[in-house]
Parts: sequence; structure tokens; C-alpha cells
Amino acid sequence: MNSQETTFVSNYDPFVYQAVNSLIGSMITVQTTKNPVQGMLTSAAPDHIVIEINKVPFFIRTQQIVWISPS
Amino acid sequence: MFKRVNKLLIDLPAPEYGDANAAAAVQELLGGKFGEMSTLNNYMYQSFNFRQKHKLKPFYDLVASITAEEFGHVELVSNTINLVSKGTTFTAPPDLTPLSNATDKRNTYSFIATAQTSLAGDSMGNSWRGDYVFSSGNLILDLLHNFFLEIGARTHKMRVYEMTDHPTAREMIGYLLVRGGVHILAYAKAIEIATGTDLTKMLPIPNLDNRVFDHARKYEDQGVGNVLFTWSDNDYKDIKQIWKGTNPANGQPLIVKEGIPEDGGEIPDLNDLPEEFAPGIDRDLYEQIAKRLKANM
Repeated sequence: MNSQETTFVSNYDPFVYQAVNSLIGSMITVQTTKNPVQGMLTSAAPDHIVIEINKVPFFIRTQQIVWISPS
Repeated sequence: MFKRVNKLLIDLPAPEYGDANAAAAVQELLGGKFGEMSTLNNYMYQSFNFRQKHKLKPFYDLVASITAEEFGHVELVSNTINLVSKGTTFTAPPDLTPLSNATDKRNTYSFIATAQTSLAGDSMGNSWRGDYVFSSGNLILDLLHNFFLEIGARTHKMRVYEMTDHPTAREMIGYLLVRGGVHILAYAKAIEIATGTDLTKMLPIPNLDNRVFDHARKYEDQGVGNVLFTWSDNDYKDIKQIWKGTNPANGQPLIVKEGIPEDGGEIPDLNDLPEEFAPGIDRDLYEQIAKRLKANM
């Protein structure tokens, strides 16, 4: 039986990541594929962002983001 | 007459995320044919219309006191809908289409008519209707109807529980499954006393214990399912002639408590929703209002 090596691939949108970094610390609205999320952008990683609503963090996968708007 | 207390029957969790379609499903438990508005209005009209209240006082007391509890259930389910409804829209000027996500949600009335709060209707947006009230005037027929109504209500709660895992909805349903079980048993006992027929041998219908539901189990453990309240300072005490013996589900003694539950939860407050113009009082107007409220006019 052949042993297969598993590789994990994480796609990311480098320019979204770059643009989002300029909004850290500000209030933003993010339209996800499910619902909009409105709150403070506290951090951004290559594959997700963190928005706080009433101090509760929501980790949002970048791939589920449709648009982002400062608000 | 009624006296109102500004408390919920239980504390509802209020997470910072909602689910508008789950809220739409929960509407069935409020304004559906087997919803809390139906239990409230059935017992309310039956108590108003009751003949020979004096002669049949324990039965009158039962229907009249449960009416008050049902009012609290309407309040609890409405507040649940309000808390579960959040998270579909965002705050922005009208030209940015801040309610755009609402077109994909099941209950558009929630966004157009009620500013994302409860509607006096069912899960399909139909209005609650007065012809859901059954008040025949025949005591045994009315009691049998109430027994059936409570069993239908419990079934619907079990199914909505299976439709959503939102914590607010599940907490409310867990509690109401237990209280609904109390009302089923109360009407079964009333029918037994009125006719000699033991309906408890049929229970539970569906044949599924409340303990199967995680959010109902803690209320069962607290004994919430053994207690019937009078919901009155001085009246309706003769329910103890019906609510007596043991609970067939757990073998524990049935208890009548005079008055209302001692604890209870805070009434949730709701944030403003500028995109819905609700409550529509901006800072400037609020300052003017505050000035007028304080002034001697």
C-alpha cells in the first residue's frame, strides 16, 4: 500500500490582507457569505480577521468575506 | 385583573450573534395555532366564560391561574425572538442598502413591520387568530381540549428545538418543555378528578422524556416540573385540590406554591437600530426630551 503524504493548503488573498491591515483599530462592516458583521477590527491574519462586537471577538475566515467597508 | 412584574421567568442568554431564520421558526411557538398566544387566550377566555365558578372552584382556579403563567410565556418567547433576531443588518445610510440581507430571510415582516422584533403571528407570518380559542363552556370538553393543546404545544417546541441550536432559543424551549409538561399533567389530573379517567398512562406524548433535551434537564433537576404556582397574592389556592399526589414522570411529590416564582431573569434591553429608525430618537432629540421630562409643565 502506498503511503500518501498529506499537505495542507491555505489560500489567501494577499491584497485583501494588505488592505485590511490599514483598518486595524477602526469600526468596520464586513459582509460575509452568511451575515454582515459590524464592529471593531482588532487584528488581521493572512487567512482570517478578528472583529469585536461589544468586546466579544468574532474570527472570520477571509474566504467567507464578500466586502469590507469602514463604518 | 392582572398585576405585572417587570421580570422574565428565567434569565435568557444573549450572545452577540443571531439567526433571523431561527427567530422565524420560534415565531410558531408564539403566534402559531399551538403557540403561547393560543394557550394564553384559550385559558383566559375559558376563565372569563366559566359557569358555576363557585361550585367548580378548583377547576376555575386552575384555568385562571395558568392564564397568568401563559402571559409570562408569551413574554418569554417574544423576548427570545428579539434576542435571536440580531445580526442580519448593519448600520449605514439608506442608500447603502443596510437591510439588503433581509431579502434572503424567511420573515420579511420582521424587517419591514417590527424592526427585528416579535410579530403576533406564526412561523410563516400568518397572524395569530381568535378562532384558535376554544371555549365551549362544557368543563370536561374544555379540559380535554387544553390537554390536547398542551401536548401539541410541547410537540412543536421539541421540533423547533431540533431546528436551531441558538443558545437563547434552546434555553427558552428547555424551560418551556418542563413547564408545558406541568400543564399537561395538571389538565390530566383535572380530567381524572372530573371523570375518573387516568390520562397520565398516555404520557408523555410523544413518548420522549424532557431529559433527552440538554437544556430541559437542568430545570427537571431543579424540580421545576413538580410545581404549580397560583400566580396571585391571595387567590386561586384551590388548585391544590387538583395538583396533588406525585409526578408520574419522576415519582416526586407535586407542590403548589402560592404567588409567583421567587427568582426570574432580567428583561433584556435592546440596542437601537438606526437602520430601522428604531427607536428613532437621536441624541439631539433625546436631550430635548430629557429637558421636557424634567421640567415642571
